[in-house]
Amino acid sequence: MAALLEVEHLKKYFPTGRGTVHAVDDVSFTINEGETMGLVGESGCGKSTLGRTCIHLLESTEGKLLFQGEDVTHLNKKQLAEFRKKVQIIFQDPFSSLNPRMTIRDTVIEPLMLSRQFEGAQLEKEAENLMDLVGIERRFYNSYPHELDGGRRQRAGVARAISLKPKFVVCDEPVSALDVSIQAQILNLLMDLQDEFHLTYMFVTHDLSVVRHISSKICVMYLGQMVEVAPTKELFDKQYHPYTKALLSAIPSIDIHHQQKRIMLKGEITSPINPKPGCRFAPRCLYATDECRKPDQPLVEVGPDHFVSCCRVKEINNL
Amino acid sequence: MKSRASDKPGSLAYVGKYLLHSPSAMVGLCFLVGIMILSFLTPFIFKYGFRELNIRAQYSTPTLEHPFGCDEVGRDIMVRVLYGAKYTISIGIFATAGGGLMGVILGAIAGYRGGLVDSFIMRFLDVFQSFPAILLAIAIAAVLGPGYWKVILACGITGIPGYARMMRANILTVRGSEYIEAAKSIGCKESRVVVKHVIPNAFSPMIVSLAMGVANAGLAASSLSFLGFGVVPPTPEWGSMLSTARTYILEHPHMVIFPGLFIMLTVLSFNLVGDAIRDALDPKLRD
Repeated sequence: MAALLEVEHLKKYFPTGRGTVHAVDDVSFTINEGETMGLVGESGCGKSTLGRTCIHLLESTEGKLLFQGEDVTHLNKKQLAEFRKKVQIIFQDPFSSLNPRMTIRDTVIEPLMLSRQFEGAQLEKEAENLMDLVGIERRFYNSYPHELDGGRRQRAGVARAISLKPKFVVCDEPVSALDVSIQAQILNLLMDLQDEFHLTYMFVTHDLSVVRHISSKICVMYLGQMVEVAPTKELFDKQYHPYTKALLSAIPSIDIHHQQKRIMLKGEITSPINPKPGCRFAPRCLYATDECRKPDQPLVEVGPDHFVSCCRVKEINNL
Repeated sequence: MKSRASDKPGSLAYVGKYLLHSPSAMVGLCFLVGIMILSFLTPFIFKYGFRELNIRAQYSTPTLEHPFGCDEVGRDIMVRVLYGAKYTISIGIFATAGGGLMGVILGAIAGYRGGLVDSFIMRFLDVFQSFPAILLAIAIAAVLGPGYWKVILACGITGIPGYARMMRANILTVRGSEYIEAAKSIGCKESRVVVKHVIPNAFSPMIVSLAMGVANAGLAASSLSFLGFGVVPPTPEWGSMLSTARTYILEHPHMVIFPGLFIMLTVLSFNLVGDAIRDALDPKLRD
């Protein structure tokens, strides 16, 4: 599989009155074509910022973005307009991601119209095809977002995102605002669309069962940094980073005979404003030593396509 | 395509429907429309002109001949009050429209651009807002001199900072929402994002405050005229009528009562309509 998106040492800092927020700090990964990469981590760890930075909704502070082998880190207006046709985003909250003053039809038509690939009746037809494809019934075409339930609204958001047949879609917690029954429908819709249009997803979520279901590869983030990246099956089998272990141990188990022991982390998340050098997780880590507080922590390869950002990974896991 | 627009709270059609079904708004609306029509028709309805002197009827109390009585030179007060309605009401509307437009533009620029532009515009408006509104209006009117359009200018300028501040706040809310990000990501140019997505959503809360603002501006116009900075006699603006009549308040109270009553009724009507618009646009605010 060819690499679709390569992210190298990406950084996104936000200057604030109290210092610089290191929302994304030196993250590197590769997403292959047709793959779904799950991006997990707790609230405020920079998942959404990373997703938005990858598709130029936010401009990166430092680092490099390669899309289909081309450098897309810095784009001028014209290049950006071209880039926008290839990457899209599906938002978390279907209540706020649709313009309340536009009907569903207008919302879906807008990107088609802007692309100038369609005109007149063809435009209408294409929009109706799209709405049909994502499962919005005909009677809702002229409805306003507030008249629909969350699931149908999210379908409209999906229709808008896939309207220009993008290569790469960032799904920013697309199901976390929905009922569980509707979550499944939307996830299945996303997977069907992936097969049909050969889409590549970056799936941002904090729901581990969802990410296990949909992604082929998982990237775990903690406070703006990537702590572990591995194929889904492998990550759920064996975790190497202390944070990943704690995170996965929090999944409730239904097996009463082999209750997994939950790893409880002590302390609070440290502030992402002007963080100390070294591993971000060190203040809460059971195994932290002085070594962990030095800058430039290594990314250790512990298996095929399995990387861990921990300088003590071999000692801790007896590798 | 817009067949169901009237169902949508916030659309103009919905507001119109709501107004028609609200008794208090209809009372206010009827009063305003009625008095405006009468005001333009006075020369054709009444046998007295608004400037017609009649020394024999000097200080006449209300009679069948002169339902509101007559003033110090025997002019019919009813004719004058009705004729003057168009001044107070139109000043209120024009001042609010002008001030609102400027305020909305400034607020939108400040809110959307942010940074230095925002600070510059807002600090500039802070200077205006640091004066009590009526004092600022007096100062502007004093500089410009009296006159119909100058009162509109004075009342309009006074309103700008309030509208700008409100528009800016609305823009900030809308600008941060995800559908704006979505619009950018599907390839909308910045101008399209602003015109199609930001402004329509930021403007609707403004409608209420503009509707309420008309009453304030009308009242301010009358106050200015009362103080001698506004529309000058013999034009029968209500404020200036009050101003002249106040000398006779003890001997001939009817000269004060009728212009005062109509100022009150007009402001009340605008507020009733404004209330109904607010209720139509934002059901959460209803008492």
